[in-house]
This record gives sequence, C-alpha cells and structure tokens, in this order.
Amino acid sequence: MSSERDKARYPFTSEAAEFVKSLNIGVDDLTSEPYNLILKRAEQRIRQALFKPDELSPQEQDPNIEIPSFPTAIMLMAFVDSENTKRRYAVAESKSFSKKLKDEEPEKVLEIAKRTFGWRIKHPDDKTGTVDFLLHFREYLTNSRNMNELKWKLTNRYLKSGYIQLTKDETARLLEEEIQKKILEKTKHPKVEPPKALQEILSEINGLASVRSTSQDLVQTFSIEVADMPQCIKRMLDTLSSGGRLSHIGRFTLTSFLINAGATEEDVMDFFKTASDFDEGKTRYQVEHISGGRGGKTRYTPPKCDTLRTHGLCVGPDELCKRVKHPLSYYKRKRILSKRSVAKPAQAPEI
Amino acid sequence: MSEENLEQRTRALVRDKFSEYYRTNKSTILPPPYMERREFGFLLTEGVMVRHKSFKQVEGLVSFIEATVPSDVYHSAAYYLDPEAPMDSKCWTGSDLIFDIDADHIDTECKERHDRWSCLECKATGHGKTPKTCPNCGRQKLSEDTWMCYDCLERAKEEVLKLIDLLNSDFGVNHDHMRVNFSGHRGYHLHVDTEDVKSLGSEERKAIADYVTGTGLDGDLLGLYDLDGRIKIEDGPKITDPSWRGRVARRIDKILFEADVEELRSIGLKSKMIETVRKRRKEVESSKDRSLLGLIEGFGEQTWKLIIQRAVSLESVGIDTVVTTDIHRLIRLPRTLNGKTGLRAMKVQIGELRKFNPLEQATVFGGYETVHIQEAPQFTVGGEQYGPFKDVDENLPTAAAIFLLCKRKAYPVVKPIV
Ligand code: SF4
Ligand SMILES: [Zn+2]
Ligand SMILES: [Zn+2]
Repeated sequence: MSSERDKARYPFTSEAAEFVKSLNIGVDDLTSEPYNLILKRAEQRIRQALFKPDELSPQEQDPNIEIPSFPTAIMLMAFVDSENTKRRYAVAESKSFSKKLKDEEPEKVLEIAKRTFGWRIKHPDDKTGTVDFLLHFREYLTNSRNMNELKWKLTNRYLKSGYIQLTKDETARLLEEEIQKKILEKTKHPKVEPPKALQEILSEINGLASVRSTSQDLVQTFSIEVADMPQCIKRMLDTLSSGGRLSHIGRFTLTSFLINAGATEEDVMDFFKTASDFDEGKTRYQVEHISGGRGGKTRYTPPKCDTLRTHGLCVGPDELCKRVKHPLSYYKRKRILSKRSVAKPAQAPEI
Repeated sequence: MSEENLEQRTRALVRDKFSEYYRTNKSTILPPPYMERREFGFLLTEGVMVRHKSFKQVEGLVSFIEATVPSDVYHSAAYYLDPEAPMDSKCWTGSDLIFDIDADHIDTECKERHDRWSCLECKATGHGKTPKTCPNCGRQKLSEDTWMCYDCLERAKEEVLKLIDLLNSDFGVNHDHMRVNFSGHRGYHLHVDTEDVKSLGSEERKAIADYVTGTGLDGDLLGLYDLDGRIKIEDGPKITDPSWRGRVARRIDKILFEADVEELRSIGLKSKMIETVRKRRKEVESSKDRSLLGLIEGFGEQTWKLIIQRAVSLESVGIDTVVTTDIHRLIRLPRTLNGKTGLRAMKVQIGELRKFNPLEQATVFGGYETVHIQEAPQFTVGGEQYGPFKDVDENLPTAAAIFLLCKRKAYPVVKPIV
C-alpha cells in the first residue's frame, strides 16, 4: 500500500491517479480557492522542468496539492503547441522521478514497476549477489532502445528463461524511459479547445515555450536551412535538442545528413554537445568518420528512405517524400523549390 | 532453337509440373496462424510479383494458387488490419519474430565443390564462396551459381538447432511457440509467435538478432577478463553461467579439452602452448576437478583473445540479420514449391529436425523427363546422386529434371513425334 508521501513523490503511479480521481476536482475549480494552489504548483513544475530541471523536487508536506499538480501540469502541457517543449518537460520530470527511485527500497521500485506499468519483474531466487531484480526481456528491450552504451546491449546482459538481471539503479533508469513515454503519451494534443478557465495560464506557458525555440537556434548554428529538411531529420534534431536520445542509426542518419547538407564538423559537434548523453571523444570520432575526415576516406551518406522506414525513423511521408527515395534528395529539391518561391514569403516556415 | 524459345519451353514445363502438384496436393497447403490478417505475395512464372493479397480462408488461397500457378508463394510475418491496402496504410499491428538461416551465410567447405562465381565485367571465374569484389579486376559485378548438398544443409540445420536451444534457454520461448520451415532451397526459417515478440519494433528485433549472433559482445562486461586482460580464474566464467558468459565458458572448455592439434593451430596457438594444453589435459583427467581454465596459466592476453574469439564465433548463430529486423518481411509459405529448385518448402517438427533430410523428404515429382543439360556439378535430389553433367541429353527422374530446369541449367528436349 502506498502512503501519501509516496503518491506525492511518484504522482505518475496508478495509486496517485486514483487518489486524484477521488478528490473530484473539476477544471473550472482550478482557478478559485483553494484549488488555485494546485494550478500554481503545476505552473511551477512546468517552469522548473523547462528551465531549471535540477530544482524539480516533490513537496511532500502538502499531498493534496502536490499530487493533483502533476496531472494538472500534464493537462496544461497537452495544450502546448510545441512537441519540443513537451519532450523537454517529459524528460525533466522523468529524470527527477528516477533519481528519487534510485534511493528507494527495492520493494518500492518493484511495486511501482509492477502495478503502474505492468512489468513482469521479480526478485531473483538467490538474493546474495548484486542482482536486485529479474525483468522480462520484452520490457527491457522496449525501454532500453535509446541507450547506446555497451552495458545496455542485450548481448552483454545475463538473460535466462526470458528474464534479465538488473540492479536497482538500472531498473530506475529503465523506469525513467517508461515514465517519459507515459508523459509524452498523455501530453498528446486532445484536439479540443482548451477550457476557458485555463486560457490565461496557457498563453503564459506557450510564451515560455517559445523562449527557447530550438529550430531558431539551429538555423543560426548551421549554414543550412532547417525548414527545407524532411520531417524525419527535423524530428531527430528536435529529439536531440530537447534532451531525448537517438538510436545508433538515428545518430548516424542525422550526422551524415547534416554533413552532406553542408554543415561543418564543428557545427555538428556543437550541436551534439547539447545532447543528454554526450561523449566528446566518441562523438568526434563518429563525426569525423562519417565525414570521411580520418584518412580522407569515403564520406558517408544517410540511409535511403526504405531503410529509415524499416527502422521506424520515417515520420510519414509528405507530398515531396512521395517523389524521392532519399532524405538528401528531398532536401536538395526543397531547396530549389523554396529558392524559386522566395518572392512570396507569406508562409512562415514550419517547425 | 533460339534462347527465347528455350526459356519459354522451360517455363511451360515447370509451370505444368507445378500446376499438377498444386492440383493434387492442395489439401496439404498450410496457411500461417491468423491468415486473414496477413499479406500474401506471389511470384508469377513470368517474373511478375503480385502483392497485397489477402485471404480469409485457406480455400481462397488455394484456388488463387491453382489458378495462377505461381513459382513462389509468400506471406507476411506481419499482421495488418488491412492487408490489401498499400504499404503505408495497411495498419501494422504486429509481426512474428523470424530468423532466416541459409547456407549462403555459412562458410562450408562444400562450397568449394559446388559453388561458382563469375565476373560480369572481366569474365574471371572461381570456385567457392563469392568474393565481395572481383579478385581480378576489383569490380563488384559478380554473378553466382550456388548449389546445395547434404553437407551445407546439415550445417544450416546445426545452426537451427543452436538457435532453438538459445531461444529456449535464454529467451524462455518454448517449442510450441516456434515453427521451423525448410525453405525449399538452402536453408530454414524459424518463426516465433509469442505475444511478447509480436509488437517489438525493428530496433528491438535488432537487439535480439545481435544477441543471437553475439554481436557487440564485451568481454569486460561479461566478466571474462581480469585486470591484466587474461581470462578470469577466480570468479571467472563458469559453464553453468547463463547467457553468453556461460556459452563462451562452455565452448572454451570444449576447445581446451577436445580440440585436436590442427584445430588448436587454426585458432592461432603456438606449438609450445599446444603442448601445454595436451599435457595438462592428461593431468586434469587424472584428478577429480575437471577445470582446465584454472590450469592454463601462462597464457597471455593475446592467446586468450584468440580462444575467446573462436569460442564466440562457434557459438554465434548464423542468421541473416536483415530478415529478423524487417517487420514487413514476406516469407515463404510451407507446402508450396520453391521456384528456384522445384523442392517443397515444408514445416518440420522440432523433434524430427535432427533426422530430417530435405534432399529426400522435400521432393515431390514422380515420373521421368528428358532434358538437355548445359552444365551441372554433382547434386542430390530425392536421395539420389546425379552428375556432374556437361552438354548432354539425359532422361532423369522428374524431380531432378525440374531441379535443373528451375536452376536454368537445362532445357526440355522435345520428344520426336512418332
Ligand atoms: S519518406 Fe524519406 S525523407 Fe520523407 S520522412 Fe520518410 S524517410 Fe524522411
Ligand atoms: Zn572482374
Ligand atoms: Zn554443400
């Protein structure tokens, strides 16, 4: 059974959700006393998550505010327009939860993984070793797909009868991915107008979001035109610049695309520096390798659309996509097209 | 007779025989589970691929096959809400996890005997496995002429057995959830259809493929080495350990105990070390503690690397990883004919895999045909050996004749009208 302290710490759990339901607060209540404190705290959560993620931490002394502030923040984020901002929010919240989870008793971690996320996870029969949990490979795989270090590679894990050995820290890290996915899922735009009561606060949050518009940064960083890139590449840029992770092939595609589109090695390095799991040496090696820098060998090009599709990296083709087989040819064509239409700059470039 | 005409006659005869097979064997065609949610594809004899077909019941599938007499029949490993829609709007809901094991991907000695390649640019030719680039002119336009024999099919089968064992012990997949099909040519397909794997994306499938092949294995992480880069003696890998750690330990144990001098040399061991291994084997055998790992002291880092590398490569399962990661893959339907050989693709019960011999059990045609054979190495079909042939007319059992016709190594001889 989870205490109120637990629910305040881990407001993403199903127990916390039930608790909030039982409070029976309507959206319109949020603007009047005493519930406006929930809205205030929700706004604070968002500010912290977007700008000072290290300060994000539960205020356990008042669970009646703290617990509902999480779903409230999520509801607000759902109405935000930028996918980028949503991801930044999700990353920050999930990171702070997993940091807390690392200090919990194993029992607590196990309970959350099981009850909220339905993981097949258990203690090993032999509890003497360094292994805290055994987790089914399916849950392991779906939550480790963006982790690039060798130690997360399935090949290097102890896998027996379908279960993988994990430490508590590793489990918390995998839960972080799961929580992040859940937040991203819940912040999908509801396709309805936001409630009147929230419009004021929403315009404020939308204002916050635009303070750091990544693609603006990018246009300045690179001598290349982000607006002319295909959706798949834009998505990769967004993922990285909002603290998300890319798979190995994702990184390869992005790097080779940028290099071939005319970015310098230094540009690309600068950009990767903002990524959450940046490793200077490794990245430099990769970038140089792809651009053919080391030994002046072949410069690599990104994979074809077909390949990107099999790897789930194609975002869903637009009109121009249907006429090309390669993201680079998309870019080249789009460049030509947009140069021709310079005369009528009526349409703002899509982000 | 012109080449075009010969090609037409070949096609007509093959189609005739295939048609007869489907007429008499339609009741044996084995649709995959949930057939109504799969896409079917057919390669017609004229070389046209018909895709995006679906069938609610086996009857519809069978009559389509009977009517079109395709040279090859495929179904998707994937499940779709709308299998007939174009690719982007089929609505993928999941896919079996599939493994393709093919003699093409396995190095066997018999390839020297029966496979040949030729360079389309400079006309150089050679025996055995096709090189990546032509050793004569360095270009990459090579055509290959591959055959199969008992040996390479056995090797492919060994790989399947290794894979079944690994999926069972490491991934916990039991035999009821694995289907093994002979492809009708040089290999086998293994399908896993537990709910756990169906919804996995291609990244996750890549991780599984890498696991199966031992790709990205890190000796430090698996606790194989001590700080000096030598194999860990204390707390080192034990043959009872799970996953790759145990697998590597078991294989090293086997190498150190059983490998003959020649094999040890092929790993790269120096004569002095080979002597040590042999001496210590005797010592260990007379003592109770059967652990050679601890006794092979003085082996340097380099030697251990070589041994471990060999152990990994022997344990690695030779699958075509591209097939496993492709979540839209079409794969051959069992109990249909393979247009490259005229052999029947078929399901093999896992318990019977060991004694399964495709060269006997996958042939279907009766009777005889006379064909003119341009060139063929020695080959086996229906348990009989034939050839080698060069530029001769032969009256062969239909299965062997069709095999050569499918490979385009022969054409039908028209019997004179009496
Ligand atoms: S079709 Fe090609 S260019 Fe367009 S989004 Fe997909 S992968 Fe990118
Ligand atoms: Zn050549
Ligand atoms: Zn062979």
